[in-house]
Amino acid sequence: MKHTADHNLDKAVESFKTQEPLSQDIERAQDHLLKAVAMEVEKDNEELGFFQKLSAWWKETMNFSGLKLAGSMGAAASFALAIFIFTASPQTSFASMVETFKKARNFFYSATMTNSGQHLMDMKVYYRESGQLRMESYALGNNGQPTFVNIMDVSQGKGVMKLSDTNQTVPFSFDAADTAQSAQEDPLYWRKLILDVDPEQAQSIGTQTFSGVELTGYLLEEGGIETRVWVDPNSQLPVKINVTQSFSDGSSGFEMQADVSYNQRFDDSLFSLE
Amino acid sequence: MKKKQKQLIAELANQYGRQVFSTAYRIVGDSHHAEDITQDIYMKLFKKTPKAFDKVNNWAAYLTTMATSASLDLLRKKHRLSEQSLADDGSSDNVSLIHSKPVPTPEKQFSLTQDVQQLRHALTKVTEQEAKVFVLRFVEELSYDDIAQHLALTSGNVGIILNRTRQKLARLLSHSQNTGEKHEAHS
Repeated sequence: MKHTADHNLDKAVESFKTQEPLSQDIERAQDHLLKAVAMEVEKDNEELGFFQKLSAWWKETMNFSGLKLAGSMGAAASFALAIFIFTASPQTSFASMVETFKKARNFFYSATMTNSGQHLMDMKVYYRESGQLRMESYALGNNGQPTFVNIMDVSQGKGVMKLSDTNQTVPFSFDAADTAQSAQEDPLYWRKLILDVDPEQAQSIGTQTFSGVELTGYLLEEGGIETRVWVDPNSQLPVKINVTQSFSDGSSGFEMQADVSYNQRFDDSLFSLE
Repeated sequence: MKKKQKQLIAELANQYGRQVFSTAYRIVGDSHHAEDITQDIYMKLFKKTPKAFDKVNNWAAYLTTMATSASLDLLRKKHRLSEQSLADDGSSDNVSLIHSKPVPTPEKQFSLTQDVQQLRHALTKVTEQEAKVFVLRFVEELSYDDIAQHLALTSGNVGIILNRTRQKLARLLSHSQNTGEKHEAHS
């Protein structure tokens, strides 16, 4: 009798474990959860929100790269030194890549972000030299639709966050007062790093072939974050970016892998704040 | 709340949101209730202190425990309301407290659904702690240590509670099947 009762319980538990929600219900719930969390993050006024900080950093980056860096004799001297250092290499030098990179009118990249090997999210980022940024964030199981879109116009100090499911638009304004950012928060962390780093600090990591093209690699280390920049020798531009931040015990933490393309034609509607 | 905490919550939502929802769904059997529970759990994280965040070393187990607790609470509330309602109108059908999603009704599926409904019902008849420990171990398959840590018990206590709860639930299920399924055996 006892044996039968135990068997019945085990059978019921097994049946219980098979109870799974429909996949569309899972995705709907996940979508709503991510939006609720994003709204909660944004609504706290004690400090700047994620996107506002991003905006602030972006503005600072634009100011820096557009005015200070381009006109800086000191920077020019650094690049000249770096060109000298890297002339022994048959591949693209880091410094010459930086010079070409600074001239790029716009770029687009798509990236996959993971944490401890687990897929976090995908991202598509559109950048225009005029100071416009569009970032599309894709949660897991997104069906090709971004979970939310963030658009910023640095010249106006304005931005909007769009929730794609409900077509809800949340406007915000920003200034460059707070520019402290981490690699995990900045979709353009790597851009600033390339423009900002002392070229002497870029370690050559040889070449590697991606999709039939041999790219030249550089390793940049900053504050425990390793950024690998893979440069196309033909365009002299970084086309693959890999950012990793390990835990203190050496195990893998945050990672972003991005493919970058340059000087494309972007429709103005991509950057509309309406 | 610190920026790092908010960032962690967003990552936890990305990483474990589906898992939390599925855990809640298994217990309550209703996707809308499961969705509410999932959001409540994550909203509560925004109210936690940095110290409380630092104490959590297994977020998957922590969130599963939260989902299980909240879902069992709802199950018990629904059960109490249902019993109250049945007492008021004198009805005798108390098998289906919260309905699973509609499914075709071949015999096997019916039997499986019956098992689930009876176990849900039985879980409302043991103590809150017993129900949590049982579900976390036998349904969510958490380790004794994780259950002990998140329910403030010792591993030894977890074992004792599991043993006792198994006996109680087995008795409840046998009783339920001996009374409630007679019509099914003859149909």
